[in-house]
Amino acid sequence: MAATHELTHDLIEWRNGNETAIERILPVIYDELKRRARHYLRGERSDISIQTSELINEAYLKLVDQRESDWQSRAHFFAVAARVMRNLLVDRARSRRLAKRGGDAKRISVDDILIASPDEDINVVDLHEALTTLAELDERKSQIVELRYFAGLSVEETAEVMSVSVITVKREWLKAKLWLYQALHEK
Amino acid sequence: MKPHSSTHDRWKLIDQILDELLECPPSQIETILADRCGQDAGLRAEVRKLFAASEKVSGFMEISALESASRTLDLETAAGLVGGRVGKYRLLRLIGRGGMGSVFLAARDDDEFRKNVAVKLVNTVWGNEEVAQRFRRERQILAKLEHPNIARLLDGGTTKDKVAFLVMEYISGVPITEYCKARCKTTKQILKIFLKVCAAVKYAHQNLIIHRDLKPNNILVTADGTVKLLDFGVAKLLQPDLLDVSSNFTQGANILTPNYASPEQLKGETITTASDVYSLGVLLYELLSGSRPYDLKDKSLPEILRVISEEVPPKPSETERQMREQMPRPTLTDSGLHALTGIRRSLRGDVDNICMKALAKERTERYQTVEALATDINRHLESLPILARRPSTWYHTSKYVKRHRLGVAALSVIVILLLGWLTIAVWQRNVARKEAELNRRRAYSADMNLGMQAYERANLTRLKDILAHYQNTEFSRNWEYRFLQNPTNPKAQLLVIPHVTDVWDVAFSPDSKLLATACADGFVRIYQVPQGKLLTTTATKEPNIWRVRFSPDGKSLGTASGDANSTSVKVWNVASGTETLSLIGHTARVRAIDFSPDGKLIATGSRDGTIRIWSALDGREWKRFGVERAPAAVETEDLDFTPDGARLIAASRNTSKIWEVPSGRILFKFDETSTRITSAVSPDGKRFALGGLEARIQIFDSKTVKLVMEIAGHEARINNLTFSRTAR
Repeated sequence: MAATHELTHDLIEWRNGNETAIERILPVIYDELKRRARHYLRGERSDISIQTSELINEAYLKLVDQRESDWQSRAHFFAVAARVMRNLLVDRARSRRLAKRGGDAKRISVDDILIASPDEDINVVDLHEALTTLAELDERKSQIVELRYFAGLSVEETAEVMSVSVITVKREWLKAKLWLYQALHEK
Repeated sequence: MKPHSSTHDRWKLIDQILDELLECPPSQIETILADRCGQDAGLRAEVRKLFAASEKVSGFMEISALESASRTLDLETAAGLVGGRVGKYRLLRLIGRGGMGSVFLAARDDDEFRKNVAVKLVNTVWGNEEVAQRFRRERQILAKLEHPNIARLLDGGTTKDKVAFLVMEYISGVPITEYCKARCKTTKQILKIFLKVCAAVKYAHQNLIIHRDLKPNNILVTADGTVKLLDFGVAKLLQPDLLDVSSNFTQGANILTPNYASPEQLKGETITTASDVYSLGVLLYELLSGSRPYDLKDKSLPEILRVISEEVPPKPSETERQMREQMPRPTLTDSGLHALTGIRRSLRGDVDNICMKALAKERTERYQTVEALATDINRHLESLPILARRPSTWYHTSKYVKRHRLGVAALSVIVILLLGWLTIAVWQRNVARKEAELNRRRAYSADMNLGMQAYERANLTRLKDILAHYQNTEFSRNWEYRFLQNPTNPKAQLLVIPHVTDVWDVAFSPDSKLLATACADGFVRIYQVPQGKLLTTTATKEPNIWRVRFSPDGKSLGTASGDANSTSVKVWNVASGTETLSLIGHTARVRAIDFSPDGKLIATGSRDGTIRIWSALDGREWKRFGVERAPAAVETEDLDFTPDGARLIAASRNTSKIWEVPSGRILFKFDETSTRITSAVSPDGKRFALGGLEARIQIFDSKTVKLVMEIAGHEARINNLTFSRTAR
């Protein structure tokens, strides 16, 4: 309970420009999301259809005192959470890669008609690196990708968090995808 | 280190050119490239390369990283099983994965002819009891079904490791959408294939089975054109004695593909055979127009829910036209689009109407059975009048003409000459009538807005004048008219009861003879109405009392109270003011309370994150909705039972919800754009209202949870809402 109170205030402070506050915010969000993500991947969730954005929202409800926070704090929380999810998933992918000692990580081939997503072969580590390059070129696009892909927010939610229009998010998201797709397939 | 600024400038330029390219018609691409890149061949190549990817990125990164990781994990687990044996079968290849299991191509180990089968295994990663149960049900369902258009169940059992499996006929085919794109050249061909799907679904319904997950990936067509329906994984077996009542089963509904799910499915409401009719409607729409009725891409669940339950899609013929106009991108001209060419004209009219009827939001407006849908399609194919259209003389005649083309030709000329002037006259009169009607309506709504303003300013004389205009007209039965009429009722009186402390809530007794005020000083005072005489004060002091409600019999009062350090829910005797019950259990302040319409239950909502339901008889906690959370995470500020006692409307600053009683299922979550702190249900239960910090009142239809009216104009937050007893 006390932690809730502190995090709420740290978020507000951080928003108001106190950069040191982020050092207190990050570990709390990191622990909470790590625990939830692990549950999720282990299939310990009761609801198998829960989306990433809901998972983050639950963490938000748990960690932040709603009475004292406002939508800007929520936006900031999601921005931090997106970054945390990115780190978590990249770390996980790296350690899995190590565990497989390279080499025998075989690609699984599957008849693609019946598979729900055509999208499962994105290498998170490669994507992460490409995204870092994109951020140097175009900060806004990389942030949109973080919110959409790592925090699982919808276009509308992303627009809200970034305080830009839905149309802008749609357009930037598409161009970011073009760039990243190109970067990942050039290798 | 920041890269050199020229890199940035170049990227900005590329970014701009991409914007132009992504919005221009395909014919202008080369012009723009030449125009913007000039002699810079490198730039042109780079832009072209990025732009070329736009054909490929539609599915790219559309599943979030975490969900994608989870799928990969499941996939790896499943792939590890290839080569192994399940019962008498050897798993050859993974061919699919669904919400709960993996499907393998397999062959009997002892079979020299190696007849292929499909083996479906419960996904071990998700090996929980619910999934296992669903699996058993699928087996039970499939065992009942034997139909040429439904994939057959061959065998089933449990492996040594206690993993359940099903063995089914292996279908080597493609999803129906792909098949039609490649092979169907006319609307007629599409409809004929679609009728086979209808036959399979109809057969399932006759066997009391609702499929609940009809979508192209579950409907395959083999090379010889045979349609096969698969995957009864989330199908629902109706109890024979419940055929018409239909069941409340929604487990598993949440893993459905929203693209094909009906509004009631998405809302978690009762699912009937009409829900399958809806999914078939979406499928038909997609087959005919090349696109699904709603664009749900990039949308979150609440947004999807809104679109599906509110938006009316364009007619299939309209969508098909749009698709074709967008198409002529050089790389996209494949056989599928070519095939669509002859289709558009034949879509208008009947086929549009059939599709739209199957897609109706309200179950009752859809075809009631798949059979009715199939019948209409057959009638269309035979040029008979269809049921999806309201009968008009002209329509029937046109059908007649189509069937007897030559015979009627000569007659028509004479009839047309004779009727010519008459038709025009009637047409003109109708137009004029419609216009007048429209104007009257416009005037009425403008006046009601003025009336609302007068009401807000408490200018009752002006309000009366406005309303007098519409007395005894067709408008005087309207809800808003009645709403405004109420305060002008000459019988209304002003009753002023001075209080020394803040009054957080007031409540009228069911017979309207008593008024209770909940005061910040911790007491409830009960007054006689209209005299304003103080009858009783509650005997003991409570913490801050936030809400007070009368029991339906008017003999008891419930109070919700609490502050930072305390919490209390009590029931009082109205006549004596003594405490009769104390409901103990909440761990933070309680701001919401309501009696169930039969008076047997009391619902309370607290800052501890829970809503609890208590017995009004002995004060014992009976049900608990939600889990205890950090304080203030989810605080319910107001609660209202619907008149049937089956639902609770819970207003909250975060997400207001509708709960089902007693199951505790969340039937609906409101969007989070407004902070609602008070709710009310109309006496007939048809509408309910929410209000809050934004100083507006939103009135919803109880059945559809659709916003029917929004009343703005209050200047400060809205603390309390009540429907008048005569409100409709």
